Amino acid sequence: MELTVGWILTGISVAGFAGCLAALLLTRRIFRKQRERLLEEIEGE
Amino acid sequence: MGILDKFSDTYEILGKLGEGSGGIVYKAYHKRLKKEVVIKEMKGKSLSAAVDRQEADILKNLHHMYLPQVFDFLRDGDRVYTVMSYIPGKSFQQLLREHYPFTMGQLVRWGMQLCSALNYLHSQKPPIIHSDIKPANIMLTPQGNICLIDFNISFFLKEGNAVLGYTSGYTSPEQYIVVLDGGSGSRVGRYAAIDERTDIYSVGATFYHLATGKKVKDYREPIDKAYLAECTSQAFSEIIQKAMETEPDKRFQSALEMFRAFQGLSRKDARYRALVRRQHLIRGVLVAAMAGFILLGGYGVHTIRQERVDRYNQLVEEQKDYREAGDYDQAEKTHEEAVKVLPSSLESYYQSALALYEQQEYQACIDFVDYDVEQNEKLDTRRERMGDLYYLEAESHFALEDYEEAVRTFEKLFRTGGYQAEYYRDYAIALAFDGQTEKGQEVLDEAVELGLTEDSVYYARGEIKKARQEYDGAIQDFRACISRTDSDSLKERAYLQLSDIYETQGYDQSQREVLLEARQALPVEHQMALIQKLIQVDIDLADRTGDSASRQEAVSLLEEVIAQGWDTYDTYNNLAVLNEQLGNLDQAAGYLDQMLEKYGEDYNIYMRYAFLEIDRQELLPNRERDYGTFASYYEKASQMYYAQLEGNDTDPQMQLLENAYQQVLAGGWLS
Repeated sequence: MELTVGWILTGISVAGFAGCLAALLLTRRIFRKQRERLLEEIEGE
Repeated sequence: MGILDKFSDTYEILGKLGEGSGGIVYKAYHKRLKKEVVIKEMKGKSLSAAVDRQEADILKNLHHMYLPQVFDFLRDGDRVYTVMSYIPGKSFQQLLREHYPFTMGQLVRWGMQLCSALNYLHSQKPPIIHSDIKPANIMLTPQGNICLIDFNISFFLKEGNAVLGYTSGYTSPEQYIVVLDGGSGSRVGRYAAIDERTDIYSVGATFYHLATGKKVKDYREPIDKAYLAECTSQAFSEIIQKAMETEPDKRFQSALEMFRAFQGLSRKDARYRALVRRQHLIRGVLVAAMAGFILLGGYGVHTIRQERVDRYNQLVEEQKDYREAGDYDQAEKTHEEAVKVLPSSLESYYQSALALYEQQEYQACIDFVDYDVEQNEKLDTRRERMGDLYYLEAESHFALEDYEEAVRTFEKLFRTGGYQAEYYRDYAIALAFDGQTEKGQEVLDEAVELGLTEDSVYYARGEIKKARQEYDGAIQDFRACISRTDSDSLKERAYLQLSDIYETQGYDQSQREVLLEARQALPVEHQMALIQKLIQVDIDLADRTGDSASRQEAVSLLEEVIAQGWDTYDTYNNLAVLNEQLGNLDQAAGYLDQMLEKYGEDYNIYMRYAFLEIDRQELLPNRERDYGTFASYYEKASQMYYAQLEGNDTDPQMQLLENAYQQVLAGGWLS
């Protein structure tokens, strides 16, 4: 199958979407820990 | 110590802890529960009866991690003692004395714990109001958590008759007024009755003291807000201020509300808010990016579809070019590639059908449309192009003289919706040839209404008259068509019809003349059928008259067919025969060699070789003749002929060869 502009664009969009989705899911855990860490730091002051 | 003696079976007094407002407080050991407890006298008359009531059970059933457990009530005459769990640690009052450096984090955490305990008490039915919250009544356990002790049980147990005290600096305005008035807790003065908000005030006052180290004298003394904010934070200061509002309606309305205020404290910190904003921004960017990628993906899919269509169209153009150049093998390969790219499109199939039609492979064209197209589930046969395919099939039936099927296929075409005038014209012709000449004329009239041009009208009329054997009229109409038309295809068809008429009438010279005229009038790509006819005319003329010029012309024409790429098996076969007839035996043999190479062995080729060999030998003097080669060709031809004879027609030429062989045999030429 020839690699045309259409396939490249579609491939980029799929990879990009998957990457963003993975990053978004990761932020749930990371961001929660960041907030908890900061709250602990603030509460300890 | 009557109480100690009375309950000595259960309790072992360990020592005196101090004196509360009600009396002495002892530390004891509960022998059955095997734990340390506190025994404290409760103030209030008529409590004895109250102890037996349901309220006492409520207190015993209180379970909260920041409240001491009430185990029992002991009665000794008029005196009532409560037995509660012993809370180790220091009270906040002790910590204040020790100048304990309370951090804001601790204040917030303990504030939440305290509000949690209060919320629990206030949620009981009826609500339990502590009414004596102060640093002395808040213990800090070794685990670092608080425990709220000494809530006013008598206030809970005796409705309206409770003993209310006050501790300056921590007591709410309404409690202060009630106490100083000496009235009951339900008395409504300037402020509302004693309720949960009373405790809220005390919490605020307590934490003000803890945070600043200062205690207000009473509710009338304003708190130092700036200093409180300096010690803690603006947000914390606002919570304390709200809790210590003089008007109960302006305070937190419940311990839960105050709990949430403490909980939100850290969350109000500028750094926390900045972090949350940053996180929201990042998430927003990711979501926006996802949306962007979805759009890009949509565009990508659209582009892929478009590329497929473009590639397909390119292949169809190539297929068309190959077909027009006569390279049908390459055209077929391109067709196979095209249908893989876009299986549902009819365009490439049309080109393939057209290629078969042009090669006069009419049955193959019919089968292609019937099976490869109509029964192909991937194809959308509702498209307009289907009409064109049916047209080719109908014309193929017509060419094979199956006029009934041609008519049926035209009708299928019109059901598909192909309303081209030319299709009506040829439908009219098919009807005429099928014996439905009147209907054919009607259809022709309809075609004229649909815009059929004059040249096509003449052509159709010529076909109809030809079908009626009105040859003179037909010739006139075809001539009229030829003189009017700009279409080479139509001109070619008209000339071929004229040729057929003359052939039918046996006017082979006239036929030859009209075909020669056609060759002059038409471009080479429209001459294939004409040349084939001309070759046949020359052969027939030569056979009839023995004229070698006609044979020579036929040979030239056949060589032109090869040059144009239109050659078939019959082309070489005819060349071999004609050259043999012209005495060009070597050339004849050369064509037979080409046949062998292109089409493989068959009896006909060896039969021809055998005839050539006889001719060769007959040119030699008798003594030099050798029919051995002839015999071997004969054997081979015979073998192959009889092997394929079943189901096939007999070949009279083979009978001639058989006769020739018998003659050679009889002549003793073969040993």
